[in-house]
Amino acid sequence: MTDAIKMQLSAFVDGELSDEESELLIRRIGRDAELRATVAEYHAIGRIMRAETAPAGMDGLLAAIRDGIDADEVPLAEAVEQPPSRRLFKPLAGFAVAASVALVGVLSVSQLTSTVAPADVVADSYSTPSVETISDPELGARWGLSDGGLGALLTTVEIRQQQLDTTTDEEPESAEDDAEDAEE
Amino acid sequence: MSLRVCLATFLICGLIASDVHADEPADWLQRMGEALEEATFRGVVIRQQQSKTETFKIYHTVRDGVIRERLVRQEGDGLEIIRNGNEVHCVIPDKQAVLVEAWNGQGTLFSPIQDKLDAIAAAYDFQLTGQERVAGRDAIIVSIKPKDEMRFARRLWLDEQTGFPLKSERLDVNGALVERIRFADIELDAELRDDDFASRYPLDKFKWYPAVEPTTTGDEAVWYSASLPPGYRMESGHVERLDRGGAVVTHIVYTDGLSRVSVFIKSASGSAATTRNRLGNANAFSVARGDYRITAVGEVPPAAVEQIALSMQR
Repeated sequence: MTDAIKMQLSAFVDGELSDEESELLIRRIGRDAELRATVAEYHAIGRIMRAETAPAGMDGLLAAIRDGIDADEVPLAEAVEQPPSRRLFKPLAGFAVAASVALVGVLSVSQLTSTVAPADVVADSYSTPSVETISDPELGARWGLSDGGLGALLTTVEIRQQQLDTTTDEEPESAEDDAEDAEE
Repeated sequence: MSLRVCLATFLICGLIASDVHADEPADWLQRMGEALEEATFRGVVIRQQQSKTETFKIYHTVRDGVIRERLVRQEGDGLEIIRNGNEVHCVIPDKQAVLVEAWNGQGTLFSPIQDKLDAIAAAYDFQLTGQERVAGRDAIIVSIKPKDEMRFARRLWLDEQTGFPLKSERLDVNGALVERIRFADIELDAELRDDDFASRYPLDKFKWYPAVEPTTTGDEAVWYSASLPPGYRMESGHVERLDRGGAVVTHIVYTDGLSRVSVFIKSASGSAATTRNRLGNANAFSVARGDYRITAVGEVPPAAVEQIALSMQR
């Protein structure tokens, strides 16, 4: 990916790209998996910088697309509080977001950035994937702890949470005792 | 030639030689390991999988060889992971629950690998493939390419000044992204307080769930792989009870130095189905063999877990 594209992407996420350039970029995002991944990253960085407060261009765009709002409807822009973002949505109406290639691209971005359920933490290419489908969840949790790394630990936490949700007879330890351990 | 000139020439040659030496990928991996061992930092980390991106704030230090760390997921459930050595408390605010887990001593984001470079070199080629800026710092890219399709490729972006890993990628055999971990912001040598490692929640009011630690039975693992993919070797093998219910499982770990596969073998009746599953980035393959079920799990390509599971014998 060239620096020019990165700059363009950054401006797009900030809602500062011109109408014409936005239109071209969205089409390109629809075709380019790497670009979609980068959009997701920029979006995540943006959320951190904004401390999860004001929705900027991407937030509003993704929310609107997720809600299935017709591109010709103005309320799309009303979801966005920041003036630069309003500019971003006007061209969308103009060139019909419904154009399938762009829509597919943007929807992919929304999937990348949304909080997903366990069943979504999967690759399309491999079987019926999800933490839920492993025949013996305890083995999955044991693997996660013995393997190391953040991904493995998060998998273990996910499995343990599912076990908590389904187990009703397990009594947790007293909070006081363990809270003392936590203080150590 | 005077002694002074000789000495100067010697020193200059030495500097040039050391510069050339520092350009070797293995030297960068050595530096990475050293940087990790004593690192104290705070930062923002973005973790990306094929279908998911999540962001963590992280605080990390090492005191007397013991890792202290706190990660806070910035989206969704706001999960906090508080690590003190090998004890990990996973704080789930939504459920007002704390899961206690026993960690295996590996790094959470990155693990030093300098002690295993010879073993890793048997299965991977190292290359320096460029420079990029990550988290506002200049980084050099080390590519670790597998020699076959039984493991994932990796790329590391190492801080030019310190060797600290600022970004890493795991790629499948087609070059598609499996996982990317990248600092969006980092402050190395940050001054951290005890408070940075403390939960933001009133944990005394939360439910605590103790670790379900496996206990070894003392029996040797009698199972072995008759056909390991090249470069893999057994790292550990024992028989353990996984839970309070007492299920006895043979657990063998194979590694090529970078990738790791766990094989679980337990007696089982019932379904003889062969299954393939995903666990986050990991692939799992499970097959019935007589009265036993063999399950291999690892952050490796599907072909690797399949070959290892099918090769198990006793």
